[in-house]
Amino acid sequence: MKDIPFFLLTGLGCLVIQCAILNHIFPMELKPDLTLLVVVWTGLNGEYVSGLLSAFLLGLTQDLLSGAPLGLFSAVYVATVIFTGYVSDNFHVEGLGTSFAITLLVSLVSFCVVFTSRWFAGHVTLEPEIVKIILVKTILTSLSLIMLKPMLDKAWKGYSRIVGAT
Amino acid sequence: MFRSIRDVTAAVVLLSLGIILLFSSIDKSQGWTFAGFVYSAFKPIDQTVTFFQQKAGEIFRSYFWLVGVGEENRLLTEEVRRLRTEIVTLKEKDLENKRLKKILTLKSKLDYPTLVAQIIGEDASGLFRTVLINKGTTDGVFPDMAVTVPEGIVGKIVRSSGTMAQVAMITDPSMSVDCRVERTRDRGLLTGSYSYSCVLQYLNKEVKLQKGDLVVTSGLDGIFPKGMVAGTIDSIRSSEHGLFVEATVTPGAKISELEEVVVILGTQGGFSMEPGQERNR
Repeated sequence: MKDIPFFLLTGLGCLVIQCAILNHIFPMELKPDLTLLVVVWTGLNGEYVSGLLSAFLLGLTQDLLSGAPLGLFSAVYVATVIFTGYVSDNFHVEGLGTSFAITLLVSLVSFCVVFTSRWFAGHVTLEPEIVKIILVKTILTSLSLIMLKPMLDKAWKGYSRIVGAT
Repeated sequence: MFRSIRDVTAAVVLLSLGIILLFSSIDKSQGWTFAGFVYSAFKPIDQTVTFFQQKAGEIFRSYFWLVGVGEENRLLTEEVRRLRTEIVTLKEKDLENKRLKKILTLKSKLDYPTLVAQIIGEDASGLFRTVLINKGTTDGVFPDMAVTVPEGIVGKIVRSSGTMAQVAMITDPSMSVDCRVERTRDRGLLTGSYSYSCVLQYLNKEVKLQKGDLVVTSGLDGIFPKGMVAGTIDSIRSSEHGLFVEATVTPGAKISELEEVVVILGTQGGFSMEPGQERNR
């Protein structure tokens, strides 16, 4: 449980960057979902329950700060940790390439889930623009992992040395 | 101890030379003097020394002068930076003033109690077109209240907490506003779209629309008052099913550039004003 503050702080930090900085760099819909990256990283590296709890809280924050119905991102992020936790338990996930592939898959599914929920709610019709948004956002999010993963690894090493979390 | 003759001679000669030089330099009226000869002989040396002296002086002077210039330059750069910041701040204030003046005009035009709010954040996920404003339930802001700016409607409040609220923009696909084309009085449903800014749907096939036609709210949705500008028609096309015509609408409000908005504190179904919030009118 000592790892929860780390996951939450990094997640919130990424959320702030996402809201305050990435808005100016990328078009609104296409900006990478850095919080999702933290959740994926948490699922792959962190303790399972801590990961789930952090993912839920981060998802809830994302729900509150976006127009999503409350619980949408919480559910998506928790599902992400369940999936990545399973992958981490059963496969050898060490390299950047494997993490990239997992992120690509998770991002694609997450964004599809968000749009499908909106489609079910009758808010969106299936238009080509949505496919473009999903694909580009997925690629940008996955590419962001290349930058974010080494930083998270390094920060995690430092944190676990100070706090004694494993 | 006595000095040697050589020492004494040297002392005498040099002392005499000095005295001669001293006296010869006093009387300038004399023509070619010994002093003149000495001057001539020492001229090259004197010139060389003077040259180096001047150069050294110049170097020192320019060095110290440059030190001063460096400091002065730093101060001036700071001053320029400060003045530039001040200019930017003043320009910002000027623009804000102009925007607020416009908003005040709108406030005075509207028959409903209104509240000016500042946009403090955009959608975190980027997948929804919403913004956060700095007024909430404590200011009398509740869900389903209309949000607008002088140029046109912006959206409606979808969530509200103590000190902030979330506004769904008219460009979000979940938003629908009952509108009319001002010129022809035809009714349609204005919805947000990912592909286009907004689409005016379910228009009668017989309708004769033109590019640039103004789209205004019909007032029938119970959220937006009647006659508020929503946008202008950009293009017209048949709908997917061919029963209706739909038009792409460019919102009147520059949605991505908004900084302040006006919240209409009430709906047509009656003002949802909390007791004690009258001061916000």
